[in-house]
Amino acid sequence: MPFYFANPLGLLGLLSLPAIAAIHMYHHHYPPLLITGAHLWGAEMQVTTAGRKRERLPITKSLLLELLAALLISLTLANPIFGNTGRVTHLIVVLDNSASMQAVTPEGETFRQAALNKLEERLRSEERDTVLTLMTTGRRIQKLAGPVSWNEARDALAEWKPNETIHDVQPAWDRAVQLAAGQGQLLYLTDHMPEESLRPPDEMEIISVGQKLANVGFTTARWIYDATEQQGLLFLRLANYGRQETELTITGTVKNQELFSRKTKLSTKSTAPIEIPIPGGVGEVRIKLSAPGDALEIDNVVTLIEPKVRTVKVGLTLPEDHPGREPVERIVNALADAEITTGENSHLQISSASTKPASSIREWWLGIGPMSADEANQDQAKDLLGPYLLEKQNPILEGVVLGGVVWGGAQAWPYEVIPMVSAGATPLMGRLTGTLTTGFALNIDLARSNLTQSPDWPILLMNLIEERRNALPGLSRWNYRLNEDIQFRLYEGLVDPDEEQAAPLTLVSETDTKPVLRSEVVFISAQEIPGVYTIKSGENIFGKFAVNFFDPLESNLSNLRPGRRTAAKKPVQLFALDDPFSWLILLGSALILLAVLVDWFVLKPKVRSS
Amino acid sequence: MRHDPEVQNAISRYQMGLLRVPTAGQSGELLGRGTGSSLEFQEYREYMPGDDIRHLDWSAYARSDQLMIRLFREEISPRTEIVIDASRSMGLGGDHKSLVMKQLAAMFALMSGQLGGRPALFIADDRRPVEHLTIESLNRLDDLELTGSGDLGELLVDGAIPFKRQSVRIVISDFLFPHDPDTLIRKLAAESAALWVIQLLNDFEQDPTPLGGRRLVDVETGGETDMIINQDRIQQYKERLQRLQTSLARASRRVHAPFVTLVAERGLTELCHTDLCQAGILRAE
Repeated sequence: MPFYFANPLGLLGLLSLPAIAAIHMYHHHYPPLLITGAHLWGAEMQVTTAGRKRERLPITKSLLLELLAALLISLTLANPIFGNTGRVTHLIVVLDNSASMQAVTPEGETFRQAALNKLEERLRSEERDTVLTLMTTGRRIQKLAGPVSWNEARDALAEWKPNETIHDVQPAWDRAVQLAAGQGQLLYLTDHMPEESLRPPDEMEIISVGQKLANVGFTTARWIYDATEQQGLLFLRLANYGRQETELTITGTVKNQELFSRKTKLSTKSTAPIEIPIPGGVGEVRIKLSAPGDALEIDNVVTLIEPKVRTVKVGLTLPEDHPGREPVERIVNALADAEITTGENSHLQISSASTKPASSIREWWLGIGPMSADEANQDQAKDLLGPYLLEKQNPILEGVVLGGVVWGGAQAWPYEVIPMVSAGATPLMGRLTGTLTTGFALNIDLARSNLTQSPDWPILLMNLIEERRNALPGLSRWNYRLNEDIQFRLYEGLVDPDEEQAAPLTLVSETDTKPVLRSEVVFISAQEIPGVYTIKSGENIFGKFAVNFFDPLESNLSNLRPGRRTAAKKPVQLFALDDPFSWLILLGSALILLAVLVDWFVLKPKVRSS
Repeated sequence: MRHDPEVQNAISRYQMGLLRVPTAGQSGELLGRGTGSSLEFQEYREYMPGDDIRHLDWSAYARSDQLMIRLFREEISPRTEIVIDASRSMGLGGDHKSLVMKQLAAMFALMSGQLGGRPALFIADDRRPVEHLTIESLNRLDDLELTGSGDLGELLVDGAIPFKRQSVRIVISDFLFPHDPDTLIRKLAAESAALWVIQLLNDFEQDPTPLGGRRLVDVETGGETDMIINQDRIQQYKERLQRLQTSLARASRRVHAPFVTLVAERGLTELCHTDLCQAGILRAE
């Protein structure tokens, strides 16, 4: 018959036994009574010799009763469980961590609270010693607690705040089945009964507390900034998931000062875009959407950070008569966040491809042919009509097709490149090798080519300039969706300019501060809580970005319904909560007791009976 | 102690009950067990050569023509040896036990002196040789301290008490030390003319009452033990004490010795009037 202690720490109470014995031994002395004829009293008198003084433990009824009481209390605290009498049921609870669980019903109760009520109700019907393991669904499955008692689980549940966008719940189910290992019960608490096509585990009971509710929310929010006009534009998309037309109020605030307020009506199950001009230099705006009968709060608020202007300076050193100069100037001038500079502090150098640039890790370079001005070489140059082989994965060639482009003046390469565009065995565009400079070269004579007249030309240049912009230090985006990874360049080059200061990089939110690893390119994993985050390098603010909840599927509460599915099979088996140390504690306590008694009886001083 | 009012009262009202017991000794007021020269006629027997012809009954010779010798009981003055147990146990229970023991010893010594005897009072304690008092040094009893830790059995085995043959021995003790009553009494009675065995206890020793938890300390050995003194324990104690007293009484009867148990708290006057007279140790004058 299996036997174990549910609370082995209770066995520490056995230490009270020697304590009681010691108290009796040293503090429970009887008043002396001088007698003679001890043999008539039936007592074996003892006369201690000189030296160690130790008295026999008076075995009295009081002592025995106290020891017995302490033993019983200790065993009661340890909660011994024999066989199936005190069976412990292990209940593994999978909690739907989707944000819709925060929706508030007309009765004023959230789905989250309703689910917890169901759990408590379910536990009332279980054995008193049921233990729980709590885990949440989501992109990262989290174990909130377990195995723990209901009282301990209650503390963990108080911290549970569902806020995930729509996600796959099956990994959490699989993990729960693994945890149960055929011995525990499974319970899935959600607001949306999963389709049977998702094949929930047979042994899992499902309780849905959802109900159809009206909801409005943002599905998109963007801040576009025109550096030329120094004017911003908020682009918002609103959705009404309810069954009735509703009037929405959109309010924008900056540092608690109302910046704008709009009212609009939105018909049932529809979306509508809205654009709101906003002056430059505002920095941060908080936009709140309100509507009567709205059930979900999380999709009603967005915070946007004003984008920063990251102008790419293009150093154009092509000769005045170079056929590529004018086409380059035309494209760069057309771009809002790029400008041509003649200084040395350019971010991208565009020059003749005939000469390979000096090696510098911070330099970006584009060389435009012809590779040689020598007439003989130009005579030998090829004019190609395609087909062209393009390295499609390269972001610089994204959208470039070269359809109908005549690639003229392709000469032999004077240096090594990695081909990006080829025609047969002839590389037409390549990336430089053997240099720290991020360099690209076009093996072309634009005077013999129609590339600059094709749509591919601005696309190619814009891609290059955007890549260069992305490589600049600092955030390239300032507004993210929930569960979107954040990546930015902290510095250019191989050496961290602030490394000597060893300033720690931290990510500060409204609730906590997390350290971030310093590197050339910093990666911050997806944030799970909407809000504004500040990146700090030491005490200096490196940048700010906002994370907002946008999830039309999760915001749509019209498909939620209550329901219950009982487990197809119910594997109620013993779950041994036995601590592997419980027997050691018991054994240790017994040994201590035994040692005291042995020490008492074996090492006691010599006695003689009177 | 010689001038103790109760002792003086006792010796004026009682005398030793020795007449009922055949004894031997020097000429005196008491009669011995054998024939002697007293005036109390005992019996006739035929004359044998060597008999004192002053005791021939000439009248009987005239009537029966046989020489008959008139035998008379021997008249003696006994040697009395009083042994008192001077161990620490005799001082237990307040002053009653030690006081009564001293009073008894003085009383018997003075009574014996009145009869012309030469009483000897042996103080049985740890001292060797055993101190012995005469009637002249009886006042020593007043200052006697009960400090002995041995028992009578050890004294007899050691031969520490110089008993005289044909003496009257009075032994006063609580007899609560572990011993074999038969052996002890036989040794006390050996070569004695008479033996009186007086067990002197205090009230608690004779009739203990429940006291609850107590650490029992043997006053002579220093041994200790913890015990709950309740009715069960007391009942067991009384049964063992009763067996001891029965054994002492039976052993005493075997040597024609009276045995009496006295409870000190009752006082000497009461003890003399009741227990000692009933045991035949004293008789009223």
